[in-house]
Amino acid sequence: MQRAYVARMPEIPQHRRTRRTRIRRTVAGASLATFALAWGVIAGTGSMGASTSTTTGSSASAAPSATYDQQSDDDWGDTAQQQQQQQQQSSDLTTRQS
Amino acid sequence: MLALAASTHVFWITSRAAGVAALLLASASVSVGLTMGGRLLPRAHRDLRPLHEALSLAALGALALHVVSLLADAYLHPSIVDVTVPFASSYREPWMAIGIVAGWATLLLGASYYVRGRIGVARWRRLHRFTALAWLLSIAHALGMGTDAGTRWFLVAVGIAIVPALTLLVVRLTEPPATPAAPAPAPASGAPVQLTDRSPSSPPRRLWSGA
Repeated sequence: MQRAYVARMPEIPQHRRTRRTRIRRTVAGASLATFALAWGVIAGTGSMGASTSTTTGSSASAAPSATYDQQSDDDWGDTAQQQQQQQQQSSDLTTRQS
Repeated sequence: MLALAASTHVFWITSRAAGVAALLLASASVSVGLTMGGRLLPRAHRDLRPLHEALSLAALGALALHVVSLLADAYLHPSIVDVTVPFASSYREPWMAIGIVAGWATLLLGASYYVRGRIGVARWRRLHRFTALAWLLSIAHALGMGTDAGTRWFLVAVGIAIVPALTLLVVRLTEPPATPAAPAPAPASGAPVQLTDRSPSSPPRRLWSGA
């Protein structure tokens, strides 16, 4: 009669398992805190990878608004979006002239 | 202003914050990894491995969020090809391509830990050394893209994370080659045999030494 042998996985001691769990939770918490802090700083500074423009005019508010830098951010090759921006710029120009 | 920026550019901000978090976590993971493999703390290998693994997994999670949230950005709206294939987009090349290469390398080299039994521990260890190279590429990506590279808070945060890791990397690369340890006596019959190629007394190997 043959005996069946079952390969047993080496068991991790309880104290090492507890330590590993504690490390994972600490790192997860620190990661979330880092992400949240970075998110708050980026949103708080208002820099959208761009210049912060302040528009002054009869109908524009004096509050600064965060805008993308067209010179640096519009080179995705999306022609439709570029055309839309150009149309918007030209309409703004017309408004200012009139 | 915070509410306005957050509501308009939520995915853009999320992507950048996740990228910053990924870089900081990867830097911490590289520091821990270099400490494990170096001579600084000879007994640190087993103690620091859970921390190294947890930091690496957290960095990969942040990296995934960095890419996915960029896909959802309404202004840039890149395609999945733009953010996964180097030089597929024309946006701020070559920094974008460098970031994509660094991301793929980090993902593949990090995931290789879980298949090291199949590819062989010694081969995996040689492969794993290139993680430092992927990390250097990610720094180049972060500084070259320039979205936050000019801000003081970013430079301070990244400097705090990068300088220790860079110092450890330079120390590791410049340390003299280790002399091979004397061969251990053959175990007596019935005694347990160590199957891994690393023992506490074995000297660390140089990065990219090829063997």
